[in-house]
Amino acid sequence: MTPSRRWTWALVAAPVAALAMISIVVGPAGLPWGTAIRDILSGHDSVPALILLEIRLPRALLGAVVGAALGMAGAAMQGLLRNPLAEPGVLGVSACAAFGAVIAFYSGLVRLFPGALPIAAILGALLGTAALFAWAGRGATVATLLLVGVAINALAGAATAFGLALSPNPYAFYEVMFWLMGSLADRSLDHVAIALPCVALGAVPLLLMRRRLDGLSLGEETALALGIVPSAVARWIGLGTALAVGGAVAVSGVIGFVGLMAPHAIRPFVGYRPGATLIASAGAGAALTLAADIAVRLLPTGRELQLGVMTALLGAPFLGWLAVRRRSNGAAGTSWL
Amino acid sequence: MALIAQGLRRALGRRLVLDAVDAEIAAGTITGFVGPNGAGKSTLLRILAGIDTPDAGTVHLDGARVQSFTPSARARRIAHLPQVAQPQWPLSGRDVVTLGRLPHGAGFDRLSPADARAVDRAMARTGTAAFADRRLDQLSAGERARLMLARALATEADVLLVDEPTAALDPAYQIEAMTALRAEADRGVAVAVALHDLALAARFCDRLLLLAGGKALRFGAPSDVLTPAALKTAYGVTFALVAFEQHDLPIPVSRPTLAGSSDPSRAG
Repeated sequence: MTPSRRWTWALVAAPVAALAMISIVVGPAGLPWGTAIRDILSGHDSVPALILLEIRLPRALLGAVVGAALGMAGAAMQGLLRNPLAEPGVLGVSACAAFGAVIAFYSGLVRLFPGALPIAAILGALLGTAALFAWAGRGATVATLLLVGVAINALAGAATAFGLALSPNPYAFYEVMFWLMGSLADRSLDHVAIALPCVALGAVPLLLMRRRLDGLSLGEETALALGIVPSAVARWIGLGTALAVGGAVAVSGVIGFVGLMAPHAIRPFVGYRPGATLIASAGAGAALTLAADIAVRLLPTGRELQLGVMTALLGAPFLGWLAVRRRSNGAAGTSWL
Repeated sequence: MALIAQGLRRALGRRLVLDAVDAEIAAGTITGFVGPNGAGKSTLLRILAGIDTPDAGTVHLDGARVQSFTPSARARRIAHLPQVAQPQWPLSGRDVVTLGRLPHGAGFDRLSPADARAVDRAMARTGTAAFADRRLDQLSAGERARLMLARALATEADVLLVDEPTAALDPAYQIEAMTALRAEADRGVAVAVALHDLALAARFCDRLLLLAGGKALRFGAPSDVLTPAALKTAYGVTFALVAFEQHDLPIPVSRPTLAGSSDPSRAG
């Protein structure tokens, strides 16, 4: 049985809100909360107010926005490709966005015009989704899709490394290397202002495709019979994914596997409906990213661990587990995985 | 009301899958498409459904070109059940049938009372009401096939095109599936069905179209189409006719001899 819509919303919203609160509370500096909130409300720029408003709040907001973007994009790609291993990170879309962002860094476009960063990342992500759909096709087997993902990841990685090799100074090189690993540390409300519009804009086509994704559940042949045009669905999902992932990568770097884990975690709660998985997976992605970002701050690693490293540590074994489950289920294909 | 195809031609690569095929599917009747593997039955159904485009020829529904319909308008008028569904997610049985209402603008969370009634009716007519809350991956192949038929019935279209609905079913459910199609035709729906089982075709269809090698060999009443001579030409096998009630059911009795191999499906 599928739970009612209201419960789905609570299931999505409550953990995200709770984790965002924890994310704001967690930090190296002890914060006098009363003073901070009082100063913000009275417009007084005290240190506690600045820490809360300029450091803690942007980090929590970005965790939610970036995680939601990755979770929704992962769910949309899995629904479209009808493939449980589809995800922007695994299939190289994020790496292409990062390549676009690196180009924007080094060409100096970012200094001329701050909007160049997300635009370049979105263009990179568009290139990645276009290559993915063109090379793999929508009816690709899991193996084909993953091979194409490996190729795109390798290509984007090589292009990025080439860009890094031309880096004007070692410090810039170092900075971009860390940025590529994915992090939400030291971000400001300006970063929120970059990511949020892109992600919101990208969510529009994705959410408009929910019913059509449901219609693709039984394969493209049945979808056609139901009056759905799979190639049009692919175009809108490609555009929405590029906008959301490009916007997210532009501010956070590459945070992999969130788009893989979030839809899987949430699917049983929405009756495995591909359309409903989108919103639920956005919530699960936000919660997962916030939790991972809290963990990197709490773990006693001395230097703070990169968020992208943390999600890979969780996500790569998860991907392995999916592969094992798939193998043990055999090729008969009665299982949904 | 009828779905009328004229001069359909369709090539896939170098192979001519359909060659100058005419067909007429009248309201209130079941038209069966029979013929050997690769004869063009599925391609004909897909073109009639408007999801494949012929290289030449036309398909008209009540005088309007099917290709000129918008995809959802076409899907509301013509329901098509492909031979193989490829379910990816373990949806509930009721959700699968609900998909049939998508052309009417319904969604899983957006079912009008009319949509809900159509889903209930389709499940009752296919004996699948018991699977409403079962997950697709917990059902047998036959149970899934019946749900897919319910999905097509739920659209409540004027035309119902079904590709091999009995292939995965045991005899009891083969008869149940054909009886369900008969009931649709009796309600005034124009039904076309591709069948491998010639005995079912003889018993349940009003008209038959015998295809071989992309050509229409014969079109007419089952007793006129299912003659040993026509079947020998189409299948390259000798058939005997066994009388049952008022039908003559064809039974394949011999394998083709090499000397007499005039199988047109291989010639093309």
